[in-house]
Amino acid sequence: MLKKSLLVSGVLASLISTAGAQNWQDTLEEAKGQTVYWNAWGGSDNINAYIDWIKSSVKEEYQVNLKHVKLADTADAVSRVLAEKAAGNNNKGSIDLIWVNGENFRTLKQNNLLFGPFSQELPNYQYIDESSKKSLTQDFGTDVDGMESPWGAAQVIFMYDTVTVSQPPKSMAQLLSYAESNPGRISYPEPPQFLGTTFLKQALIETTHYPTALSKPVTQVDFDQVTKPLWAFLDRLHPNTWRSGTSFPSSSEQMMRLLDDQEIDLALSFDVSAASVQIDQGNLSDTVRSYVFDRGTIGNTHFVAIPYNSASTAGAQVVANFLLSPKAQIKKQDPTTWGDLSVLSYNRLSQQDKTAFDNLPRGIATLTLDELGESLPEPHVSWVEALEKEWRKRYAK
Amino acid sequence: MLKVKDCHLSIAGTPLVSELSFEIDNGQVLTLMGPSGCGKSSLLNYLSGTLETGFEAKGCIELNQKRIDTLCTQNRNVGILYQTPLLFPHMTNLENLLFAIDAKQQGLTSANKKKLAMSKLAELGLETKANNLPNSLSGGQQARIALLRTLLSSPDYLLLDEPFSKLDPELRQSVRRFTLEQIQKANIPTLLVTHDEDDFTAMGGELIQMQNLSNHF
Amino acid sequence: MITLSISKFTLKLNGLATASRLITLLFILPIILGLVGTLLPAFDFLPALSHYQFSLKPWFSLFESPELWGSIKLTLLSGLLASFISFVIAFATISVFYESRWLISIRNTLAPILAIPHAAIAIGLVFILSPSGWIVRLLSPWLTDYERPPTWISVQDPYGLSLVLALVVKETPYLLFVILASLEQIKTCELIKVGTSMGYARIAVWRKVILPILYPLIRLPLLVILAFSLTVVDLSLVIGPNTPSTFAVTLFHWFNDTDLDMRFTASAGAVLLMFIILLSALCWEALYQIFVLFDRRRWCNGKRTSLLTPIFHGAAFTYLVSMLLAVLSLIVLPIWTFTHRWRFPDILPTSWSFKKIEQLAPLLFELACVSLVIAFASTLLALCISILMLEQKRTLPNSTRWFDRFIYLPIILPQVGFLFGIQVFLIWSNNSGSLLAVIGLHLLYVLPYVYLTLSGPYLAFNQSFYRQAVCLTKRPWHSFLQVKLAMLKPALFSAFALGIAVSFAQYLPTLTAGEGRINTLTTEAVALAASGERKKVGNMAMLQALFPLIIFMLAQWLPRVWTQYRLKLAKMITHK
Repeated sequence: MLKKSLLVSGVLASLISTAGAQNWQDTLEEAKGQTVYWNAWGGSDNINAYIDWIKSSVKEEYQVNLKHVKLADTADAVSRVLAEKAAGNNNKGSIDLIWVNGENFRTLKQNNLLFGPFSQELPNYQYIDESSKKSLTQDFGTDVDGMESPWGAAQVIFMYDTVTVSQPPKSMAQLLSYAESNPGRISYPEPPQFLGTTFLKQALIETTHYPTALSKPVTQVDFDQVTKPLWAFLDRLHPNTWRSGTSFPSSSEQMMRLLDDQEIDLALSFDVSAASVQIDQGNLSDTVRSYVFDRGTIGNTHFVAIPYNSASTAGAQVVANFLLSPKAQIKKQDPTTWGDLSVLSYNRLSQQDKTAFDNLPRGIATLTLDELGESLPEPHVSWVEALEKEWRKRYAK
Repeated sequence: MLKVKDCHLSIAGTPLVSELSFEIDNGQVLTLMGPSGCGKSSLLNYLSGTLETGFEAKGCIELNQKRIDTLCTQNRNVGILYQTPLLFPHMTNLENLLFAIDAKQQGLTSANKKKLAMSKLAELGLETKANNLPNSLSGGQQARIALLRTLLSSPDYLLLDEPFSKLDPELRQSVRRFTLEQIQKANIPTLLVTHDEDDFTAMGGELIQMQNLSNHF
Repeated sequence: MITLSISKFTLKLNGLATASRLITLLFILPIILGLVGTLLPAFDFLPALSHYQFSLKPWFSLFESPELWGSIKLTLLSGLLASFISFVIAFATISVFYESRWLISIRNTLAPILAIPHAAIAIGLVFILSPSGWIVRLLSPWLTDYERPPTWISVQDPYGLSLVLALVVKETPYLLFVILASLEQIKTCELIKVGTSMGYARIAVWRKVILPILYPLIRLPLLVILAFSLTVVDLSLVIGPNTPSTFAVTLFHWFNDTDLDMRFTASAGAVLLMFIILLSALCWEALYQIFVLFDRRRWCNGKRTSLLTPIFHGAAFTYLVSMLLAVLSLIVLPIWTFTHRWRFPDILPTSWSFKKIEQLAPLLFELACVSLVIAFASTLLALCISILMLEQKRTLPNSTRWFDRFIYLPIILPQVGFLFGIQVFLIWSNNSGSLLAVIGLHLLYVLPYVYLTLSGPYLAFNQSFYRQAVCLTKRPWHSFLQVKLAMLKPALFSAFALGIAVSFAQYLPTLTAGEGRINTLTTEAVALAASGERKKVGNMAMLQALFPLIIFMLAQWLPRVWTQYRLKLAKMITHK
């Protein structure tokens, strides 16, 4: 009963939003002076600095007061929206914008906790070519439906120190034999940390005999049959991993630190410029380089979404729109700022913006778009939970 | 016989006691009186080997011609009684007495040990209270048990630090008499520190009147 | 005249009683709300998620979750072991060093170590003990031949031993503090003299006489430590194992899981954790009683020596080692602050830089300000409430019994679960995310410590001083401030410093009430501890430790010189 009424109110809200978007000027007008609380992961200095830049830009250009609420885990923000709904706070929510994708997006969308659809109506959405990347419309297999606006693209990269490793493993099979001849020097973040789960997915893609099954919801396939080779692979890998598989790093940042401490030989990141940035900050040796596997690595798109109970939806849309502007995207892809890949389609840009993209500097350990190659698509979002659950059942008892 | 020769006590360079010498025969009580801060308690601590850090001591203590001031408390075989009886609140009256008996040293079996402790309680007419906790006893009874407990550890000399001062006045005389009887029975030298002249009168023996060396009071 | 002042006095007393009743109510209310907010979802009831039917589903899914038993086993092992070891070390250290110069030095190190938030120590410990940590670096490669860090498992080990170590390092000083305070209530020196004069070895006296008398006095602090070890989240996040993690951390993850149904399982888990605490406390007490039952015979067996002597000396030595570890882990934090490059096996950084601290300065300043405002506000409130409640307790000891009973609950209840329960009500009352809400939740944890620290000295105050002052001045308030509180200055200052330290250490309460909008040094330090950013974490953790430390030192120093300076000041004024 309640669900139905919420659905209705959701539809109503979306109608209102479409009407509002017809006149972007109205939105801009309404946004003036609004305060937008942006809940975004705050664990990295360079990203925080970039968000600071966004903050001053939207203040200057649109008179929107942006506040960065730094999260350790995006799930915290999801809990917050949920708790607010629980308490009946339906129009004065504490969050106006969330940096989100994948599982968190699905949770928000499924529970009708989002405002929208709004993204396709944003003026700067014209630079997006939805056909260029599946992940622009299918966030981990969940239809985006305009409920979140793309912000950046990420791809898994591996890092190693050229002084200690001459021939880094370029597939899961090679990784296994590397671990067996160098026990204790390989590891990956602990699922359900998203990078750890991504590692599982990468390993699954490379080991399974049923690659097509992965794009379907997990309930529609024989999970045990599809994942059997993955567990066999991990069973062989774990005894030779860091701390004999009794403990796993908690994040990409910790892996890079362990790489620098020389406790491990390979680090993973979802941030293609991670190695260059960390070298610059004195956290990695300048002999560290990045690379991707021969078959490619998993890539995805990250978005921003607006909770249903935000009091500043206009301001939040203005910020989302600004994030999509060539100006903000160029700055973001600059490795001295952040190095996060742009979501804009190169061909739709003006000549001036194209040149600006072309002229971006590249860190010594950052791969070119060419070197990154084709990214592998994320399996359907339902695999995340299934893999995490099975992993924890097997290895976290 | 307990002999103290040329005892000199000081704290941080300030002298408290100087050139004090005395002897106490077995079964005799020597009473020590003096104003607060004259070093009575420090002297007691010196004799029991529990002088706190910061104090310096010179001189020598002999017990039956053997020097004991170099020994630590647990090897001196000394008995001490304080203002409060200090019966252990977590042990029964019987257990308090048993605690003091060193069966091995006195060559007792555990049955005999218990018999000994019970006989002591019987002397006080307290056999029925053997398995009660000390807080069930009156102040006078506690004082007597404390004395018996000390004597059961068969000390070679006894130090009494104002043991009667916390008792009701009407009880004092009887506890004093009981204490003197027990000391004479045990036949050991005893030093009594007190503020009360009646204590001295009751105990007999000699008296040393101490003075304040540093007149800061 | 006299009747008038007496009737005024009664009026004041009545006001006091009403205020104390109101405070009790205000204090109990959030505790009950928190419990209800945990209990209802545990039975599948949470209108927010359209769960209107009570059922046992959360419990089934709890008992089906694969990590449950491993998690609980680990929690029990680390919690009980840490509490037991801390107790043994604390008791042994005191019995070995009592009445010696060493004890004075040990006593002096207690306050600073108590003041330092446990997360800061854990962050430092991880760096010291890990295979690429400071200890291995100090010995490599000249002694160990290690060009690269060994592949040991010395932190976050699957048995939680490193977690136990961190707990012991943090809890032993607290227990020492508690034991030393309790020893002042019993005639310790005389008891030792009685025992040793009968020929007992000192350690034998401690074991047979002091321990049984002391234990009832420290029973409650021991249970607080036990509950803390069983439920701590931030410490286990930093140094505990993660496959599986301790039960509290597992619950913390469940509460934050994107799958909202996990919240029900987590609530059931939180209720289970409360039972685990209760059972552990009962077991602990039962084991002690059984120990006493068997030990009773040994108390009066007449044996003058104790076989435990070498064990006691060993345990006391362990305390010195654990202090060394704490000091090392505090030294390492400021080093990281100024590091640019520091690789294995270099003993010290190869290049230094002020860049990081310059870059962080505005953030650190902001965080420090927020932390200080929260700490001062909650501690001052706690002090006022404590004084009010203690004044009421002094006049009518029985009237505060509800308050006395409930005061321990926030410390003993697991923060995970309980705080989520409160969170729903905070949002409902539209107070979530406000500074006020954070201060309120901090108060919930600061108040018990301030109240307990203050109650001893406050109730022991010789009220005749105050009565004398009222007779002389006829001004009760004036006398209360100028005589009673002025005389209680040392106790007030220590309680204040402890309150500040407790507030600074709070992680989950800040996170829950602050909605992530209000960040303190602690929330940032713990959030970053998992990341590799040692330099940044070093900065945060250092400041997190520094402020309570300074306040503790001021609290010890100020009461001593207060009167002296006041007189000097008065002299200066009159001379002018």
